[in-house]
Amino acid sequence: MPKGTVSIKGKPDSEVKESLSEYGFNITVAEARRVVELVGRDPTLVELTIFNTMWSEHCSYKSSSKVLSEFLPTKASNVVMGPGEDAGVIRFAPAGKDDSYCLVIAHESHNHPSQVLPVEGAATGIGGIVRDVYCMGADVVGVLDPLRFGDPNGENGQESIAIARGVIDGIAQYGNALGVPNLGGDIIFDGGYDENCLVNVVAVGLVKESRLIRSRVPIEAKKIPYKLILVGKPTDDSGFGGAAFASEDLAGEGEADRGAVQVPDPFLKRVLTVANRRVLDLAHEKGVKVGFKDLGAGGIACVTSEMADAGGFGARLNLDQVNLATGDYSPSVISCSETQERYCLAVPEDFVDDVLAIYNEDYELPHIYHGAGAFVIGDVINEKSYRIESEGEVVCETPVKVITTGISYDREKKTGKRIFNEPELDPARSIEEDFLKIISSPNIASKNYVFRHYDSEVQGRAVIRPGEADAGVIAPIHGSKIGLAFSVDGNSYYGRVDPYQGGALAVCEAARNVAAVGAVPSTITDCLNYGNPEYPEIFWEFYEGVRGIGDACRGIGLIGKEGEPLPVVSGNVSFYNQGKSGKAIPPTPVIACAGVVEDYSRSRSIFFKEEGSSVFLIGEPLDELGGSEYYRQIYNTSGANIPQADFIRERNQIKTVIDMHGLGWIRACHDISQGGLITALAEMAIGANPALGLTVDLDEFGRTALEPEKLLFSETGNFVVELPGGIEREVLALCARNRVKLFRLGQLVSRPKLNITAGNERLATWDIAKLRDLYMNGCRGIFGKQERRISAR
Amino acid sequence: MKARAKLWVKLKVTDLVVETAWLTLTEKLEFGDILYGLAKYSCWFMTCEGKNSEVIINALDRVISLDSTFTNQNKHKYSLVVEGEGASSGEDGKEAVLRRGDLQPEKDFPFRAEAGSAGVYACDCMISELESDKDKSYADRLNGKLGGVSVSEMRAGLVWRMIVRADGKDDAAEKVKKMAVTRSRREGLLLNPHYQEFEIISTVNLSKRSRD
Amino acid sequence: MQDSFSGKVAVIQFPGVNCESESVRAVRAAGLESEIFRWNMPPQLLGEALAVILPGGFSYQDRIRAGVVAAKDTIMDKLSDFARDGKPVLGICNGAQVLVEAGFIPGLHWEKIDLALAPNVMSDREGYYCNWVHVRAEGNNCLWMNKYKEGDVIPLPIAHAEGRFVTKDEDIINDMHKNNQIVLRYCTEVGDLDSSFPVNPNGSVENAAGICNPEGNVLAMMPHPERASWLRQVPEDISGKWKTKRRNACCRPEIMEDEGPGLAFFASLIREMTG
Repeated sequence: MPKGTVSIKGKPDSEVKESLSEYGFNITVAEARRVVELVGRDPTLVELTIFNTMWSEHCSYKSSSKVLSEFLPTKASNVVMGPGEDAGVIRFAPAGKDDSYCLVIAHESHNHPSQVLPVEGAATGIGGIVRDVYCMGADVVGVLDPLRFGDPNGENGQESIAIARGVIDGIAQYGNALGVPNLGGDIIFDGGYDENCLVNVVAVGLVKESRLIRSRVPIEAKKIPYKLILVGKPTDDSGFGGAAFASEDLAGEGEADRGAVQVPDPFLKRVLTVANRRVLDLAHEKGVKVGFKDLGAGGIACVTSEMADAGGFGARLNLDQVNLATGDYSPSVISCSETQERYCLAVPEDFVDDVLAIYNEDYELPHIYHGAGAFVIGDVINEKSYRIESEGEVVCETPVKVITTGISYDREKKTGKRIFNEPELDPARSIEEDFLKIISSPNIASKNYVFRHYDSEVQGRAVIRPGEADAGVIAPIHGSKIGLAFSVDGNSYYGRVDPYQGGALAVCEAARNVAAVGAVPSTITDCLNYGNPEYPEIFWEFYEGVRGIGDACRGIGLIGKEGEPLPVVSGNVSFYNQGKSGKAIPPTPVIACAGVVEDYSRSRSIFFKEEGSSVFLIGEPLDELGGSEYYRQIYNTSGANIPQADFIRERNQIKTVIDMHGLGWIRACHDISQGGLITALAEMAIGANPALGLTVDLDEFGRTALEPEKLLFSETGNFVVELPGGIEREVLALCARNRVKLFRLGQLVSRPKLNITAGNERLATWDIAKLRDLYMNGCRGIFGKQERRISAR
Repeated sequence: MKARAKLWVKLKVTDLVVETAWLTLTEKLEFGDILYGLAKYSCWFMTCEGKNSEVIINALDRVISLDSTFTNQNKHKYSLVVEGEGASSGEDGKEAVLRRGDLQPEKDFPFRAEAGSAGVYACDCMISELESDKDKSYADRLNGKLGGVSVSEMRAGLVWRMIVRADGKDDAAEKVKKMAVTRSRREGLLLNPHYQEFEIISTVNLSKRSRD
Repeated sequence: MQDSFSGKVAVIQFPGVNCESESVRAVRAAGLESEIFRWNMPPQLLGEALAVILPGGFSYQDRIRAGVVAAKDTIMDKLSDFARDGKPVLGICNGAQVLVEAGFIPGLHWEKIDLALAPNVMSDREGYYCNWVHVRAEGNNCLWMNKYKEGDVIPLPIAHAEGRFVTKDEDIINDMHKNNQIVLRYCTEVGDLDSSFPVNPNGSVENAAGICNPEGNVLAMMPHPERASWLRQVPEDISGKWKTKRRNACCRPEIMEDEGPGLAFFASLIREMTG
């Protein structure tokens, strides 16, 4: 019987509640009573700390798991590992006989910490997500960062800008130092995030299927003794309670909030990465089976119990063996703190010395980082129990299943009532003038200030970089023409009007983006950012969003594999995104899509290439300007008619674009999203080298078409493609075969102007140099050098 | 009124830069027999204007505690001292000196080696960048947030506190300069004189204290 | 890890560097043998190497100042002898910072600090900056550039926060000019020098992107040739004559594996060896 229990049994609710809050726990009284039931007695402080973490929303998915399993397709022929481990895995290319190259992908949020401490919060986000990929035995080959910030021109504008700059710095500091290239990301500014920014992070890695490492104690431990090794940064109290912190509303600016933010260290991670690789290679050479997992939420207790349980074992730990930072830490803190840059290995006893020598001697961890190193902290045992000892006393002792057993809730949902109206178009407005405002608005303008701050070149695999196309492309396998494409999406303005469409459209757009560089959308991950799920209307938003994602995955499917869905292999749910005023963020499901390119040499940038090329629009602009940049910038309203996901049309259009890449036709391709057709055309012209221009005759769209401004600014998700001249017949035939609409927009000329006409009537003319200037500098005030203001007195 | 404000910030956790500097100075550069201790602070020295010292320190304290450019309570200890200029508000004619924070730089002398019988001095060596507009940028940052208080002069930099064995102040300064200014691969470490400058901002004789 | 570096190009892996693998890959693509040399391996192994590369990254976390801690590492004693023997040493990005902080560059007075690689100065932004730039090959003094011709315009990526070559001492600049030591200078795609951002991306003195020692065997360069060693690594919208080459490789994957603009830095070693 362990010592130091917290008395719950037989106490009235009020007393239990008081003692829970005294310890700073988030679990409810009912949950605490459930702990007593599971443990069979009053829990120890360490045990209760473990449950407090494991049963947090962040770790347990207690509100979301049922909805996720109801709607999201996770199986397809390319899936090696779906949700459940630290990251999802798909195979994408053969690797000799009987083996495959696999893509490992993980997606998380680090919203609350980034709101409170932007630099550290965002850096830790990158640090955590790359660990999830590394611990599968993979090499991380890229990160992407979907970010949502408050309105820079709003009431909290200065704070939103400071947070945005801090987050960008944090991502850069971590990723650049670690040596992982940034492959893309997106930024949306919206007043809905004034009090709660979103920092989502995606990491992608490569591994051969035969070299995948599982986050579990290997079955070999049945026969030979296995030890648990903790390696990395010395444990301290940073991030203690972090999972719980992510699972409550952001209160204010108190110091208590800050205690949960971890202190990241990319340098140590880099050295660990090199040393881990050596350990895993040596294990492979010697035929030794190991288990490997990163430490995240819940720290040592979480990682060791999960590894043991997943392998069908138990574990015995001795906290006295854990390397600690200077300071005095209680057993609960040592067990559950979220100190960064740590991994746990399960290795056979006779391999321990090899492992310790690599970390502690070859790579001199203790020498290059004060207090760091690798230490044996416990044993794997056949008996399925979990015990922690500290200074000769047992501080935790339960069946291991008890710890890893989750909890689950059926949350109530209530349909939200939302009323949105379409604005009346003002015929006196000038498209020419209005577009200048759109092209320089922070959501549309170039994010070069951001992506030039990230290392996009390290590792030498980049083919298409952030800012060059709708998706980033790498050539992952040296000497092979296979490419991988990545994109992230999730437009808050649609989800606000209809959360179902918000989810569905995010998948459509992400898939469209990878198709635009010729990739077959092959898997997605989702990071589901919502408010407090205990509010029925918020839970409804979540439910609808997931339903939309699931429908889109099945509707678009795995192109080339008839009947298979686009699988969701990993993801994350982030609830409680609401700030001090209690206002929840707009529903923001963020989707990352990975696509496989058969031949990366066919992946082109969005920029116009050659004089004489023909420019086509694939798909028809519809009266879908709800949530559009145009309505918001020009009419200061959201509007009602947001784009409606049509999965058959999406699939056909995506397939057509991939076919065109396969035929080698594509010279440039860009999907239509925020800002509509005219924004897409301008972006394609702005980066063209040499400069090229285009005249678009709106009469091409026929007599029954929409008003010019609707044609130009509608955000219906179509594609613009630049194709060689003289193949019009083949193009028409392909589009007819794939049942997609096609409009010829014009021919590229060397005169750098963008003109819009309707028959003989000239509607607008822009100098491309002028558009370029507005576009390139639109975000300067947010991300550029801070203007040295004269001191206000 | 005008007041001088001094902000000293130090890491709560082990400062790896100091660890590395210590090892490099004592083992690689062979200053092992004269260097007894080493610490590093980020410092901002400024002149402020506000209603009174109290108002000034409250405003500064609020801003620096919330802006991680200056302090991050997760990681740092700090000392904020505001000293009214000229006007003596204390009844006994002394200048009012107000303090905030959990760091006392005037008492922070982290010895790492046994000090010998000879003279012991702690020199504070401030390093800043040549031709940099960082000072202005910090002042702007504060001025944008202070409200009712303004910062007119600002001088920011990294302060290395080096505890050395020396025969008097001048000798201490000489030795500190040798350790700080990188002249060659084997001489100096803490700054590169082609883009950084340094100044010894104070020297404290610790000889007596260490023997007491 | 290797037990012999004889005849190989050693790429030194200080803790925190992160370009060692692609540097080895690029050297091998140039037709030479190359291996990673962990910083704490026996120094005599380094002595046998054919050439030494200090790759990019953040050695020792840029503690104190980029490059300075590695510059004082024990292995640098060996590298100092190696360089003084006239053997080839190349520092890329963080490696360049190490060579400057070690006083191998400019090397007018061996191991004396005559230069700094200071924080970038840019007109509209601050800090770390990653982009493709053009640099112009100058003179014929540097062993690492003997496959380039004077005036060649080479597109290469840069990615750094401290890449501004600067000195307090005007004489150093004059001496470097006299000795033809400024062998790479930031320029436009047609080779014109322009000291303003973004042509000169960091405010470097004399538009210097790479500086060698007077003897020409040690080169410190901020751009990354190992990230420009295959044609596929070049952005298709780059300006200048490499654009034509790169665009010709579209839809022809086999051509994508052709030589990129930076490979000749490594390939120059072969000419050096064979005379």
